[in-house]
Order: sequence, then structure tokens, then C-alpha cells
Amino acid sequence: MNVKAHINKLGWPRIIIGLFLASMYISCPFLGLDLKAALNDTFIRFGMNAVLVLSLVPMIQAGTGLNFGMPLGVEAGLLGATISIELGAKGFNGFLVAILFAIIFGIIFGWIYGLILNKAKGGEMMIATYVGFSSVALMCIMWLILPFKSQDMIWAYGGSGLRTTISVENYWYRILEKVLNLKNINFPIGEVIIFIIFAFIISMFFKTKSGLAMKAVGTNEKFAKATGINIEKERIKSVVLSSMLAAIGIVIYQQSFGFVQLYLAPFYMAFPAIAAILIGGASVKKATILNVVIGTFLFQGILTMTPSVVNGIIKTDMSETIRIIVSNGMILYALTRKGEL
Amino acid sequence: MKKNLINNIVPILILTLIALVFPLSGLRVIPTIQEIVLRLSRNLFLVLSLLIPIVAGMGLNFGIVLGAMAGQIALIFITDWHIIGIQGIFLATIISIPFSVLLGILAGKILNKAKGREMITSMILGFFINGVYQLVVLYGMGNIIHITDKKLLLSRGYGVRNAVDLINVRRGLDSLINLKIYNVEIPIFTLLIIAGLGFFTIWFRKTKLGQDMRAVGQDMEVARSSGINVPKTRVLAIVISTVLAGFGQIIYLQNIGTMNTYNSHEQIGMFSIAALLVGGASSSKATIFNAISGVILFHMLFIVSPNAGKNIMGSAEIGEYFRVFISYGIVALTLVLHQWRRKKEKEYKRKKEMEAIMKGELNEKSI
Amino acid sequence: MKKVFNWIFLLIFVLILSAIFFFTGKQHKVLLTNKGKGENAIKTNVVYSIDNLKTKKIRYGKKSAYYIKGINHVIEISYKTEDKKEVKIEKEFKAKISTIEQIDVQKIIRNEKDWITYKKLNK
Repeated sequence: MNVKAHINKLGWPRIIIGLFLASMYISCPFLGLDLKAALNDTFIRFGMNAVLVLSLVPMIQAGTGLNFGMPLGVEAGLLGATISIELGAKGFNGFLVAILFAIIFGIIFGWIYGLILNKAKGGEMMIATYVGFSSVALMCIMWLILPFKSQDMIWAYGGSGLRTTISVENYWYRILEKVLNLKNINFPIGEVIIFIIFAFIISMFFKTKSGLAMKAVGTNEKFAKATGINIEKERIKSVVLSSMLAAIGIVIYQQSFGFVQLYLAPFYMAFPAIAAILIGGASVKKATILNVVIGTFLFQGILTMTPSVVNGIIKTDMSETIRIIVSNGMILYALTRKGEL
Repeated sequence: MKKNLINNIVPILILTLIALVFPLSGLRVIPTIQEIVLRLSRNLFLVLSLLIPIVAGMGLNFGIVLGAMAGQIALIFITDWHIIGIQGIFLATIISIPFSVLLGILAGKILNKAKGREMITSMILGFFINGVYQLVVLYGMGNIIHITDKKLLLSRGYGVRNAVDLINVRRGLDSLINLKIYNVEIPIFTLLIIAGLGFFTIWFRKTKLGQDMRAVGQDMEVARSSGINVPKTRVLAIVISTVLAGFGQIIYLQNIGTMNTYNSHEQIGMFSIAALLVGGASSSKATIFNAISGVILFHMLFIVSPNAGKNIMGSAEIGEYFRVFISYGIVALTLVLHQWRRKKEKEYKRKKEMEAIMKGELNEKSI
Repeated sequence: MKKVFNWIFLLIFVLILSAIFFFTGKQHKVLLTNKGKGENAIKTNVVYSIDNLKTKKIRYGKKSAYYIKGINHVIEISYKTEDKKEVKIEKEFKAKISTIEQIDVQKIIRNEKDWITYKKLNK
């Protein structure tokens, strides 16, 4: 009986995916794949994406829904990164400057975004998606007309506007490792540490009065209102917090990845993050740090392992297709669970 | 009068925008009208297929992508079998039906489990089935599914090519009956078919099934107590919409002449829905007029933006991004307005109920 | 019961309709040759058209390919005799599934019976 209760709590999809992933790791040696490298790759991708997935937590807890408008926060982070490069800041300073501007724009964008969502209670997810899309398009125009001058960012031969992909190799590529003097170890200790820092901050926040107020709005709006909590304000706070974290998250992602990707890159970025947190056990109304950790690991694990393993077995590269099926399948599962309104 | 204005604020705004920008774009009138006629005949069917789920209260059906995929699979088959001309198109239409129905039933059942969240669920479902479609078309065809004409396949021996030339059925529908007025070519047959769908939609609303759907759309509980099988009605609405979308995609592709096997269907959902909303529809109310004006306005934006962007800001690229921004922004705006209006209506209804109760109590007390 | 019958009739109707579309819409390839052997050869260029579609010319000694749709067809050839007179001959033929039709123009001119042969396509 106890086992069954445990299984129900974990949820079948999670177990299936967990077993699937484990089987892929196990099959590595049989297929001639380097298990250590595979695990390492998974951890690196975990480090890249963890904070982005973490950014979904505030809005879920506050009942503002899954943050399909994450591209908005991502754009704030991109602005932070580009401004940092424009100012020529290198090394760890550059990274901090990027984060600083990311936070500033994250707050501004998040606040506007929050105002819009407040007018749309009940249909947040749909509207968030489209707000996200339009903001990406708007920023595309911005990347073309904003007066950036750095040679590393604009088109060569006198073109105007920023390049689609900007290398940060000379600025703060893998700065989190370099700063801790761990250049030669492949394991992303820096990213994991920074994730732990932010996860800690978030979990502390939700124990404060402000955080509890936010959570109350998410759990039972009427009750929260009766207790005198300002619903609108709490919702905006959650959106600002989520957007800020998304902005920080993309900067972390870029320093690990090595490139700043502008224009249409952020368009669909919300979906993998949402799939990850749902795989980790979150629902539309409830998410914990554990969900983030498990979910990001499982999701990134599948993304890393599937190409090599499937390739090894049937000699075909099906990774893109499998990724689409798994990530969207997870989101579908979460959306169709009963009693989540 | 004022209510009419508010309801139609979106198309009016867009019309003003276009009227302002059109002279700046440097485009001439007659070729533009030709483009619009062309795009109407190409896209209107798909947009019309969105109407029935809205009537049934299921919001904007992003699941028309599923119908589009069914239509494409049908087209792959008839191209493989070398069926050309109008027969090819009709055969593709017939073949698409079983696929559309299956996908529609699946979509309907899933949406029934996500009541209140239909739109986002159908959007994600569209992405998901796209993955399954890729599995079938990119890996299964040529492999497990036999393809006779090897020219359709990729060089590795299986999987359909990225671009399938539909030269055999190209304009099969359009050129059947063609009219030229003032240098503008009008594909009469296609337009007749679209008109047919229009009349079908109007007739359908008067049938028992149509009335049932309207009842379900207005209030599910009331409909259930009237004896209507709510889940089944909702599934049927989606099935009809998906089947129509399959036809619509075939019409769309026969006009273009080439099928981007993996891309043609992806944007269809967003564009058709954006067009419908631009025409003044909302996620709970849409008319044929919304569909027609929406397609005209939306595609005017399509045509005018790059050129205007080039003339105003020196870059057609900016014009293009601006169009994307406006299209998605409009959808977001309409959804927000709609949600806000629904809230106001609920509050109004609650207020009226409270007043009635108060009056009832007062009356009782005075007796 | 009646409802089931209605559905079955509809299904049969659609199946028959599909078959009609399939056969009348299928594209076939026709190969024509204007090659002759020995004394029977009539050395003239031939102009032909099938089903009143675009006309094509086959020079003497050459081949030509044509795509047609459907089952029943009419081919009309015309050529000039030595005394510059134009002669037109019309012939009917059927197209079969999974075959390529091969037409020998020379044999039409000579009014021979086996002017059309069918070659089965391998899968």
C-alpha cells in the first residue's frame, strides 16, 4: 500500500521518464558511448537552464499561471548582456554588469507585463504567450535600430543593427568557472553554486511575510482578499520576480553557452522550461525548488542522451522529433489534470 | 452605437493603421486588389473552420493545425500516386477525412479534460502532434509506409523531402473556372466552395446539433440539464473543425503550388486565428463577417508592412518584424479585452442577482 | 438500423467516388517513337496531340514523351506526304494502371493494328 501511495505521489509520467533516462545511461557502454562524458554533458546543461526553470516558480505559486511570457524576461536579460558588452566590461565585472542591467530591465518589463496580466485573470497563459511573442518581435526591431556601436556586436562592413549571434568569448565566457579558478574541471560547479544561491534566496523569500502573501493569493484568492492582501499587487510582484529571474537566467545560460542569441531565438524559450518544471512534478498552481531540480535534470538528461543513444541503436538522428514529443507531451499532461482550475 | 464601436475596436484600429500606411508603402491599387483576392481564396476556408468551436464555447481552436497535417498527408499520398488536376484535389480531400476525424476525436477528448484552458491546450497539442507527424512523415514514410515515387523521398532513402512540388494539382481548383475583371484574376470555383462553407456554417447553426453547440457554448451546466451530451457535442465541434481545416489546408496548398512538408502547417494556426481576431472576433463570438474582414485586413498588413518599412525606416526587415509585432499584439490585446469584458459581465450578473435577492427579501419583510 | 444503413451507403458512395477520382485523375506517361526499320519506314516528321492538348513534334528517328491523365484518350497525328499533302489520323486508346503506353507513330501511318503496346511498370 505504501509503495502505491509513493507512486501516486511521484506520478507515473515522472517514473516513466526517470526509468527511460536511467536506461539510456545504462545503455551507454553497450553502445560505445562515454558514460562519464554523457553525465557531464547533462550536468552542464542543467547548470545552463536551472535558473530559467527556477524563474517559473514565483508566478506559479502566486496563481498567475505558467509563465508562457518568459521571452519578455529573456529579452530583458539580452538587453543586459548587450549593454554590458557595449560598455566593454570584461571578465567577472562584465558578468555582473550584465546581471545588473538584466535585473533593471527585468523589473521594468515585468511590471508592464504584470499590469497586462492583471487585466486578464483566468486567461493568463494564452495572453502571456502572445505578450511574449509580440515582445520578441518588438525587440527584433529594437536590435536593428538601437544605437549600439561595439564592433563585436554589429554587422561587419558597415551594416546597421546587431548581429544575430554574438560571441562572448572575449568577455565573460564560462566566467563562473574561471572566477573560481576551476577552468580545467569540466563539471559546472560555478553554475550549480549560483543556482543554489538563487534557489536559497527564493525559498527564503517565500518564508517572509511578502512571500507568504504571494503564496496565499495563489492558494485561495478569496481567502487572501479577506485577509486584506492586495491581490493585484501580489500578482504584479510575482510577475516582476519571475521576469527578473528569467533575465538573470538567460545571462547565466549565455555565459555557459558562449553566445548571445538575439532576434527570434527567445521566441519559443518558454516551452522547454515549462516542460522541465512540469516533468519535475509541478502543476499549474504549485511548484517547489525540488520540482525545479528534478525536472531540469530529467529534461536536460533526455535532451542530451536521446540523440546519441537513439543514433546508436537505430542509426538515425531523431532527437529533434523526440524532444518535441516529450516536452509538449509533458505540458499536455499537466494541462489535462483534473481539478487544477 | 457605442457598443458596436467597442466591439469592433480592433478592426477599426487596424483599418486606420492600414489607411495611414498604405500610401507610404508605394504599392499600386490593382495589383494589391489581386493579391487580396488571391489571399482570400487561399486562406478564408481555414479561417472559417475556426467558427464552429467558438460557437461551442471552446475558444480559438489552435487544433486546426491537426487538420492541416491531415490534409498534407493526403496530399503526399496523391502526389505519390500521381493523381493530378481536380481529381487529385478531390481525392486528397476524401483521403484527409479519416485522418482528420481521428485527430479531431483525439483533440476533442483531450480538450474535454482541460475545460477552461482549451486554447493553450490546443496550442500545445498542435506542437505535440507536429512531433508525431514528423515521426510519421520524416521517419515512417519510405520505410514502414510504402512510397512508390522515390523522388518524394530524401536522399537517405526514407522520409519525405522538405519541399514537395505540387505542380500536378497546382491551381487545380483555382483554374477550373477563372474570371478576369479589370486585370484581376478571380478563381471563381474556389470562391464558390468557400461560399459553400459559409452557407453550410449558417445552415449548421440552425440544425439541432448546431443549437446544442450554442447551448453548450453559453452554459455547460444548463446544457447538461437539458439533456445534451456535453462532452460528445464538444468533441463533435472539434472534429468538424479539424476536417474543415484539412480541406482548407489543401485549398491553401493547391494555390501556392509547393508544400513545405514540415513548415506549411505550423504557422497556419497562429495566422488564421490572428486574422479572425483582427476581423473583430473574440474567443467566444465570431461571425462570417469577422472572418472575411479579418483575412482582408490581416493580409493587407502582410502586404503593406515590408514595403512601408522599407520606405519609412529604410529596411523591409523592420517592416516585417513590425507586422509580426502587430499581429501577435492584436491577439494579446483581443484576448485581454475579451477576458476583461467577461469579468465585467460576471460582475454585472452578480450585481443584478444581489439586487433581485434584496428586493425579494424586502418584499417578504413588508408582507 | 436505418442509421447504420445510411452510413454504409455513404461509405460505399464515397469509396466508389474515390475510385472514380483515382482512375480518372491518374497520370500516365506515353512514349512515342517515330523510328522505322527498312523499306517500311516513312521518313517524315510527325506532329501530334493527345486529347486536344498542346501539340508536339517528333522528328523522324526520334522519340517523345507525353503525360496524360485519365482512362480514355484520343491521339491525333498529322504529317505531310511526299506531295506536300497534309494527312490527319485519329486514333483512340485506353490507359491502364501501372503501365507505360508506347505508341509507334510509324505503325499508325501504315495503319497497322499493333501501333500501341503496354509496358508494365516495376515497383
